[in-house]
Amino acid sequence: MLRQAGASKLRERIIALVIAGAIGVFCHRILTERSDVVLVCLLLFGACVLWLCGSEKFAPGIRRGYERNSVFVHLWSSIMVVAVALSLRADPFALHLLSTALIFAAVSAALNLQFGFCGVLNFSAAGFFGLGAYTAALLSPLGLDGTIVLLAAGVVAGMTGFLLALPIVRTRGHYAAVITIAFGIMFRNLLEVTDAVGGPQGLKVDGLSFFGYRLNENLGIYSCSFFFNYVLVSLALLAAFVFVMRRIDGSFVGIGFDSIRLDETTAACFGLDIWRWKLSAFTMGNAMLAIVGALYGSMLGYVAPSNFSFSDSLIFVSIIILGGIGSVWGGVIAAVIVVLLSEKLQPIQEYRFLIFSTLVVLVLLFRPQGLMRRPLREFSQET
Amino acid sequence: MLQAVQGVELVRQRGMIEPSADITIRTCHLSKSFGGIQALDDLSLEIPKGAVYGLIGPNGSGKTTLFNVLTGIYAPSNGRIEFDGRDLTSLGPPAIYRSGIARTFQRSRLNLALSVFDNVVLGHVAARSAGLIQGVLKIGVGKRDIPDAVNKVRSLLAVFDDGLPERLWERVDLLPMIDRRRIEICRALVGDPKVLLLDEPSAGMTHDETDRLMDDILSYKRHHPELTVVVIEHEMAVIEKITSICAVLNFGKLLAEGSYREVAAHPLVQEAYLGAT
Repeated sequence: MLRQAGASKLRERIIALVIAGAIGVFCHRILTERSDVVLVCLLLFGACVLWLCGSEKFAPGIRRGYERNSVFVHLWSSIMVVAVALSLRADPFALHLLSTALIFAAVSAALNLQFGFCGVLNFSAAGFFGLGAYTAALLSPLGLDGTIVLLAAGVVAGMTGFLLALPIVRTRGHYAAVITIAFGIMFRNLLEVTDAVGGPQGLKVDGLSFFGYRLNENLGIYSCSFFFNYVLVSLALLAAFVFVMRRIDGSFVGIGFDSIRLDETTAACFGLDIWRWKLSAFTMGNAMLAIVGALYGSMLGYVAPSNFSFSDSLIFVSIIILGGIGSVWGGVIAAVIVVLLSEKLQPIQEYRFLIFSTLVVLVLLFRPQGLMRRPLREFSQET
Repeated sequence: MLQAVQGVELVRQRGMIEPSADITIRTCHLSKSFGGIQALDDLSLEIPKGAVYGLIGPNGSGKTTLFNVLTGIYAPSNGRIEFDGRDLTSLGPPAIYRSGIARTFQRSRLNLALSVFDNVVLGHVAARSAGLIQGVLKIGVGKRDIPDAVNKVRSLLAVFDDGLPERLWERVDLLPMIDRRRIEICRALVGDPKVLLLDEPSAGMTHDETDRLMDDILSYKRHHPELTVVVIEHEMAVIEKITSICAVLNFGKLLAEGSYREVAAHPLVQEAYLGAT
């Protein structure tokens, strides 16, 4: 019996290896492909596979296998990302794309905490993301260590979000969303008229350095672009976020968030202080947004108000809708799709957002729960 | 009005409520008005500890409003609520729940998209609010959070139905009405409340189902003699079967109080509710 279980676990792990390998090779191909025809074919193929994997028929099996081998899958997918990054080491643009995708995936995790879990809509995600980037820019002349800069960005955004949340937790639904929209627009306008932060031109950001190791220096070995460093750091942040999200989802806190999202009155009648829970989710999500925002600003080398506009917030929100609201891995996949699509469709310029919007509408029409529906909790293995 | 209060006094004098009995919930001159409508009108009730206390009255007589005021969903316009000697009047729903009053709703308010476990354990989450962070980090006491809760929910569900513990991870909207009602009651019981408020537990169920549910509640009550149950019911057979005392409300006022038989025989009650001329 035990042996059988071991054998099936081994089989599942081999399948996971093959799948992760295939995804890695696929992403590598997309990142490096120059021919438009091949690219379109690859994208169509990927879309079909994704659609199948998220379907009612295959998703439960995949999910069960994933839950049983989660540590292994996380480890292996991280290795896969590093392997892809290594194979692209001499191509700064591809590495930059990869790192952006990872950062956007981390953004989707933060938004899923706020909206997907607790039901607090945040239409100023780009604002908090930008707040982090600007914090990094303002701190960069001081030459502080990267960990301190990231933490400072998190604290600044957390506190700003806390103040903004005071009116938000007093309102419900749409009204709260309108307040966040107002903040997102105000933030950008404020940046544009404040000369101390560079006005419309923005600010220069020095690269972060961690424990004396400077991210913006090329590695001496293998003709590696310095963007490789950013891939590693953004991967680490994403991994940390996914870890935190999964832990929250699998605890009483996740159950409390779900209850508040679905029915505030009932949740309050069972002892949950709604405003306190919402405030925690909102503050924590904003801190996460700012931390990856600081990394993003440092990677770009400059920050400008136009990078953090309301339409960027909308793209962030559409990422979690595309991936499946509350689905951590769905958000990761959708982030990769959004980043790759919008960059790889550069040749058709203004039509790419048309294609992207069509994609979102199609998903909402044919699979309203998103590409990967968020699974129900199941703790049957823990007892 | 004067007559009604006299009626209450009459019943009291017959010794249904012993003056020495422990009172758990006491409302003093409680009023609640919505605009021009007086939903509760100078209502003074004393609910003895450990009793099964019935609330009856015609539609719109203020029974559910009383529950909503007791659980803090509405603030009373006037009057006071005491619970085990503590003043609850100005507290909100979360604090009132944590002090030991749990309720079910007239129309099922389960989170249909969540599993049976997620729904029931909600009543348990607030009780453990001190260790929530440990639960996320899975350190210290937090390690046992989920497994302990699963066991607790399983054994509680088993009191009401043998099949329910097997369906712990299923979505609630796949279950029949009777199971949903059981789940709602378990959600209210899982935090070990001192007072359970049941708002029309028989609504939408067949006669046999209601019977079984009441038996299960009584059997739970036998194991928890200190639990006080307040039940709103239209089904007179249910009131007769499970309550030791009941109160009749009409237009937000207390019309009569006593055992079911006494209350049912009361002329004012017959006039207002049971339809005698």
